[in-house]
Amino acid sequence: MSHRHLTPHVMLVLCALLGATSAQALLSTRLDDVIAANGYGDLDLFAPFDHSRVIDGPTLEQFRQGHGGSLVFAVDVNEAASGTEKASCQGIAIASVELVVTIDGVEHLYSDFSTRTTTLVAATGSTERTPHYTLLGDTGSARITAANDSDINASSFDATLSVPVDIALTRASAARLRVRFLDTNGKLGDPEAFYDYSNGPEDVALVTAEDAAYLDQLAAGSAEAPLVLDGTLAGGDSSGLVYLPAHGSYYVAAYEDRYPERADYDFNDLVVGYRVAMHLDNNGDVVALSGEGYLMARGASYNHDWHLRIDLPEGSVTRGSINLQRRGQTGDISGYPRDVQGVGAVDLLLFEQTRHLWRDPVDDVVNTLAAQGVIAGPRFSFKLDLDVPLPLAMLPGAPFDPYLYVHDSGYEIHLPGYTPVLPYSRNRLDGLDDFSDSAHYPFALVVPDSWQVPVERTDLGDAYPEFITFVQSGRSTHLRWYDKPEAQKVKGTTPEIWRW
Amino acid sequence: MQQHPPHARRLTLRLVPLLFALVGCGGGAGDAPPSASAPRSTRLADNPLRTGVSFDNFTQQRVTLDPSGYATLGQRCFLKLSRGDGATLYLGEVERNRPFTLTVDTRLDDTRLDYELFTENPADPPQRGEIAL
Repeated sequence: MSHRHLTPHVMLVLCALLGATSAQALLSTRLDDVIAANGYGDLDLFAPFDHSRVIDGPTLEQFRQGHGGSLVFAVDVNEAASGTEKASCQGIAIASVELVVTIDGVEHLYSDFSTRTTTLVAATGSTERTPHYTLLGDTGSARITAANDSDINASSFDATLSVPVDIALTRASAARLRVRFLDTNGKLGDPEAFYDYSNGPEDVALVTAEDAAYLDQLAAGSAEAPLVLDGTLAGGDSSGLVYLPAHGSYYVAAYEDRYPERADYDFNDLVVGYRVAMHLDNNGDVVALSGEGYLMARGASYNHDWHLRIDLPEGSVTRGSINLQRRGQTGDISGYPRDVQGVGAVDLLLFEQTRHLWRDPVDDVVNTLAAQGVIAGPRFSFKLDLDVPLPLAMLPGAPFDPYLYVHDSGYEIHLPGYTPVLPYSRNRLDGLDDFSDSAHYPFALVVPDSWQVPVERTDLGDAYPEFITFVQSGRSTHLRWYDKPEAQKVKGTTPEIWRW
Repeated sequence: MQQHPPHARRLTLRLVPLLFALVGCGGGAGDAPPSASAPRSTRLADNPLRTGVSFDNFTQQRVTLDPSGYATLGQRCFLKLSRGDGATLYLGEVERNRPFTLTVDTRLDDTRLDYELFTENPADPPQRGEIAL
């Protein structure tokens, strides 16, 4: 039965019935077209990725009415996790958006749009920063929506993009969304380097009001993105981020775990790359802390817990959560995210039971044997909000207190100058609170992230011949000792390998 | 201890009334040498040290910026502070009418910080300069 045999009255009834049917089943729907790697997308809104679904005029109108007069899209931000972008925090600036709807043979063009975030960035060839809407997101996370059949559910869609439409779309015969990302001047560093488009393609979905609210509330990737302004540039939650050690850089903490015995000095028993950001309000006070880190190597048979302790002032109240993920797996490891809250010093247990958490498929140790391939380790991230903002000067200095608890010996191991903190460790029981060995070397070092892990049982001084001169000179010469390893005596653990 | 590196002072003169103050608060490089003898090998096992040696590869720097002299059309003032290699240390909005102080962590061989002040108004030229460490 074709439409030409139906009377207008029957058509209207059918349309109403179809509309009613669609209303009951309105689901967020991924589109077949994408925004390509060149930063441009011309997307047919009537072409869903799942061909068993239907998007037509009545469906579009339902979406529009659901948002009070706008079409709202979700975008899966899918950028290269390199430079200052990473898997947990990625961003794109938008140059333009056009929605073209054809109704009764007439094209209606809508070019106003908005997202939840803006920034100031310079386009390529320019140094003038102008406001642009942005899309922020992450990868590796699975969204969980109320509607199981929603295309947002179990996906990695991130940010929303809204286009106001002031006419009914029921009779639309075609609709296209044209999106062009901004080609930013990456030579300026951040924020331009962060908000470039570098990978793609980016998937797009038409979303219901419920799913849009979910994604907006989630605000994926926004915790550490640089220069995130509110959506209107009219004031509000603008703030700044202090990056420790720097945006795109990490501290590397390397340990000898035979404390208090003198060690073999390969400093690979556990190696962790981590960084912290302090979130400031408009007064320059700290309102939140966030961080991220990776297990880089585990060259030990001992089992450890890795903590990061930040000695906040007495009485400071913090609340937040810790996420823990494995590369290639969607969502968190079982038991995470884990809520944390406390008063005063924050002691975050970020990698628990490392021997069980991270194993090589063949060997007992990970990323330390000469003939062993290098694999990426688990990643933690955390965000802690302070109940009351603190002046920046009241916070302790970086790299804070990254320490180890060794289950097999019962000892905790800190950087020199720190004291034991765990009530259940043997340190205090045995009267051991000095973290230097008999030759006055430490059991823990913090180095820049270009440092690579020494091969098993390789003395750090053999792997890095300039280290001893650096130390012997009182840190006045060979300041880049960590960039000059003996290539055969270190693993290729550069950040490009272990961060994801 | 408050230092006014010569280069920063020159900037201050040129960009009056921008004011930068820099305080190294992490000890920095150049500790007293822990041993007068030449190393026997490069191995740690062959080179016992005197007590109290520092192994820090980073040093804290306290930076104070007063943007009140940055005359702009825009209403909001933003600061980007970077290491000499371009890595961002701070990025965000600052109060334009009062000094802004923050502590950053630099590597021992970093010799300068770069700063940039800008507003939301494209008509305001960014104010750029560097602070010698």
